[in-house]
Amino acid sequence: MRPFALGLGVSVAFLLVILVAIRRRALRDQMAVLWLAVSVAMLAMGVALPFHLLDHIARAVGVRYGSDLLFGAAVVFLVLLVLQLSVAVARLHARTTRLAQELGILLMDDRPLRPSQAGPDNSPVA
Amino acid sequence: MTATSSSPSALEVTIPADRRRMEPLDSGQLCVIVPAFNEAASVAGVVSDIRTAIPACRVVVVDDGSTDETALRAASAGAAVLSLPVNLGIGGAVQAGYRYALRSGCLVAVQVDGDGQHDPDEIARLLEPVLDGSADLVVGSRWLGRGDYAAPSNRRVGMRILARIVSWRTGQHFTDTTSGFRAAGPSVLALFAHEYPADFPEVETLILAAKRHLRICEVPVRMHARAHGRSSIAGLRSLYYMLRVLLVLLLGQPGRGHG
Repeated sequence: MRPFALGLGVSVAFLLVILVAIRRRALRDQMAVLWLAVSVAMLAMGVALPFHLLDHIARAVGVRYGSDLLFGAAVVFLVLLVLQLSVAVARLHARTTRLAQELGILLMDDRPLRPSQAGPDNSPVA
Repeated sequence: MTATSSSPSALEVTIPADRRRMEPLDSGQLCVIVPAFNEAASVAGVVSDIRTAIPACRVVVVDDGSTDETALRAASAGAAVLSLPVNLGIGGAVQAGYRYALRSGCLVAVQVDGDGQHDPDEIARLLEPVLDGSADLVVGSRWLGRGDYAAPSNRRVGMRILARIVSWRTGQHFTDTTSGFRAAGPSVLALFAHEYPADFPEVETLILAAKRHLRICEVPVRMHARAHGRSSIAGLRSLYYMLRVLLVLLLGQPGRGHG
């Protein structure tokens, strides 16, 4: 019974964290839906643990152990997620670049250079 | 290059407008773009040399988030200074210059590095093919017999490989694909303002321009060994550089960095 309680506890806690994050608008729409789905799936797996549901599904798709199926699926999911995030970062990078260029051009007309303005904030754009 | 006009009768429409000799530029129509990142030691000299060599032009120094006095020194040497709020890297900086040039009504732009490697006395040679209408993009090559620029042999091997591949991809012979000493006519100026690769743009832009059927030519120029600092591409970074550039060259689709 202990793994059951542990699994359930973790998935409920995870769901709570996601809900709080959504309430605080720390997660944007798309990602909020995704993580909500993930936490619900975790909860469902936790609840279904005693019925060996995962093992049945695994056997149905030709995988011997439920845990293997879970790990496999998790790896695929995480790789796709990271890929999606890399694409999103690249898109943000392009936007940041564009904005910095436009800002630079605007400031040229607007604010002739004075000695006190040397040394801009040089934080890197990641 | 084919003209896309529906009227075949007039000879003029079969010749793109920029294939003819350009009208003489007035001083507001030529922009010299000087990308500079922490080049306080050399930038003022570069700016004043440019102003001496080409009195009738706008000089814009793109200060790529420098932490030293690059912007001030450039401004006191008489350049317009475009200060980027964050460091964008060479591609982002140069493109900012092209955007500024396009927006302020320039027709022709020249790129000169802020580190003193490019000799402003050579700008006139770069401009000639653009002004007489024979090229849209002119690249100053240090390997065509002018000057005595020397590079370490490993660098030279890398440069030669890149030149080979670009020549193969474009069907045109190139000797110096990594040169950032360039002149751009109206069509290239507009293209680069709109689309410019981010990280290692020199090689990629050649492919980009060639794909758009813009006419590229090389002219021999003199280059100096850099006066201060060292190349941003050294050691392991040069391996990374080669990898990145080869990837772009072989996979095509250049210039999608900043749309």
